[in-house]
Amino acid sequence: MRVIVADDSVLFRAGLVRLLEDAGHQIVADVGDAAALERRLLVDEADLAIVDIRMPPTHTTEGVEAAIRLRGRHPDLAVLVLSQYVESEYAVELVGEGRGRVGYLLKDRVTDPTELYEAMERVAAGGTVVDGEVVSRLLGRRRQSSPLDDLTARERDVLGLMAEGRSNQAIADTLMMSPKTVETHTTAIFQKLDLQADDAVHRRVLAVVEWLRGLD
Amino acid sequence: MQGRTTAVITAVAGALFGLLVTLAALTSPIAGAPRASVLLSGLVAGWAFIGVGAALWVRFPDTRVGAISLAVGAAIFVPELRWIGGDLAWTAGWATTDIHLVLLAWLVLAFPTGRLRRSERTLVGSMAAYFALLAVAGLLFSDPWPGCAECPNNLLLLTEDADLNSIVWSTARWVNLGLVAWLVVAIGRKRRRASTAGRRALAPVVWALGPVGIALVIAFVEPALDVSDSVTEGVAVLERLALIAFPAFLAAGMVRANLALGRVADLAADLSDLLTPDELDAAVQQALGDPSARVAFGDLSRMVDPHGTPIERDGQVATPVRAGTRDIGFLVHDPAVPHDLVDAVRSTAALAIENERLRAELRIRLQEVEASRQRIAQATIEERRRIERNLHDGVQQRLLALGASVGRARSGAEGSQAEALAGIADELRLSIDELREFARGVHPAILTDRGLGPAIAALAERSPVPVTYNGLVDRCPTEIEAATFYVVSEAVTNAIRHADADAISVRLWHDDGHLRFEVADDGIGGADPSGSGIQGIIDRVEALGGVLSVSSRERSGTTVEGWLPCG
Repeated sequence: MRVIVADDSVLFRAGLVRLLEDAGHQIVADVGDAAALERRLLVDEADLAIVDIRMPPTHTTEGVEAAIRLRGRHPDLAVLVLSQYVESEYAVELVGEGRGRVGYLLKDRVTDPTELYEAMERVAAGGTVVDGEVVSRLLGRRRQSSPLDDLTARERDVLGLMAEGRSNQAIADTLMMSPKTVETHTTAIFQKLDLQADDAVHRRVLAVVEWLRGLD
Repeated sequence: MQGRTTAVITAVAGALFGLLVTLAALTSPIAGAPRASVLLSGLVAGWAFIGVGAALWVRFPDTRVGAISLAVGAAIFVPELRWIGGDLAWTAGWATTDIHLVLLAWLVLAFPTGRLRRSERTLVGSMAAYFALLAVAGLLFSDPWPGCAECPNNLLLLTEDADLNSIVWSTARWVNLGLVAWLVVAIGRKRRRASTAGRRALAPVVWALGPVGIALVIAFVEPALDVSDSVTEGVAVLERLALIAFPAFLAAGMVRANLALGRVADLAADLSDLLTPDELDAAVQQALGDPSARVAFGDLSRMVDPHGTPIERDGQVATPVRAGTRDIGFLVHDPAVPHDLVDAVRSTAALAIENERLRAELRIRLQEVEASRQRIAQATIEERRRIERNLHDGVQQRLLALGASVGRARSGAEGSQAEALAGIADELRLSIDELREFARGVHPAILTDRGLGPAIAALAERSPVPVTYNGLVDRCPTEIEAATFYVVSEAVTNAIRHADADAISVRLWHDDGHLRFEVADDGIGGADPSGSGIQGIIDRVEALGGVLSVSSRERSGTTVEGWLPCG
């Protein structure tokens, strides 16, 4: 696919571009900040933008804000935000719209590119991605007693994959069950966690992640 | 009071004496007795000296100036005894004509302390000896009243010799002149030696010399001129009236000194309390009679008030206040305030001013120390942010770029090579993770990016021990939020590591310009408040103007609570 890359670290950007080209992707452009990214997208077409979260001018969370703006302006453009922070806060902000085609991925994924490519495919296809590391952090919190304890082991696995933004089919493939079984589990999960059932993956991921964050 | 009574009795006695003598002279059978105008002016002069003498005696009982002035008054009357009648009175009266001048010289030189220096004693002694000699010599060769048949006899008359008499009196005139010159020089020296306050006190003496000087000059010149009797009479009256100038100026000077000293006494009473800087200024203003007066510190080119604020002197003067030989401050006041008053105030207030200076210095030092502490605390936080950013932008990016290279290599690798690269990739991931966690420990980016609330939420998320966090909405200055985060983070970490707690609660809330925090756990308690970790967070909080306390009892958990200023 046609990819545009934005990252202020020249070193990393070069490495990422080479990685993507190796996999056969077409690099439309690579830029160093959000403003340049937005300017290029006015002129050139792309299927996916890969954006670093921390860029000039403030070096805080330009990437997230830029992603939200870009999704508004170019509804067909998928955006993948790469971050070095395992903070659920930023992931929630990004997927908060609930319209899909966004993803929050840790930069470390480049060490095993298949994960990166897979996330790219999912997002470009309209899905939502929340890095598994972020999810497992949320799931791994030990709580005195929480509704999570009511879930079976299988249901916890399903919950985790839901939080990552995977579709029922993807969950079925990953856990090697039938889509029907997955559905049964998701229904049970919604009930036990007292969440409003929602089949739309994009809204579902948000609901689950926010629920997990709200655990204390 | 004994002094008072004695003074009054002596004064009354002297006044009566003068009155009696004057009456006797007025009704004297002797031809050539002075006219009423002369006698009365003499009486007034004598009474003036007696009156002022009594006042000085009461006001300054430790000196002798009062008594001396009384003596001057009496000495003015004594010569008039010659008109009473009888040879003895006649001779004694003439002989004592100039006693009052010696006593007046003594008074002039002794005022206001009553003491004479050695040179001054020599002068007065010489005058006394001279006039005593003259008293005799003047009568040796002539009759004071030649051609007066009914006059009493001059008991000291040796022989009538006009030439010798003339010699005596001519010499006398020159010696008189010499003595006057010597007296003027002595007064001049006395004035030069005096402090400002001393000169102020001497002022009446100096002014009185004017009229008295004129009178002396006239007295000197008159015998040489051949003038009519009425002129002679007029001159005599003038001489006596000129003398009044002296007690008159003395009285005025005393009144002035009284008023000023009264105020200084009030100042001394005020200063016995511990005063705030404003109260000290008010007391000084009251004492100097100058509402614009102030106490100041520092040096002339850069004066500050007790709070450290620089002072502008518009038209005012700054008089140094000394304790011993050290300058301890200034009195800033209107130049019109009399110098002796300023002197009295500055000596009285010196101790209070020194006190104030020390307190002001302490205040300034304390402010400097607090400001410095705050700067250090802020710099530390800045430093941590910089380190985190350097890590992120520097080595972390490098490792990630390396990761990308490893990833690329893995795509084309097979078999054992693929395995090896997988191993390298794992290690690299671990390194990146560790570095990320380390950087987060130095300064979590989310604290800068999203603020204290989300940062605490993220902290709570990560905690292996359940942390309940009540959420926070309003923002505070960056360094306050950062300090609060580190405090809470440290407290939570301590609870996780040492307290063996099942639950930790973090509460943050705003209250009246304070950001309050409370971290409580239900663990084993027993935290040591003097441990370096806790001391560290106490220092950090206090450096930014906040307060922190740790309460920890065995088996009942630990609570770390406090506040930092916010808004």
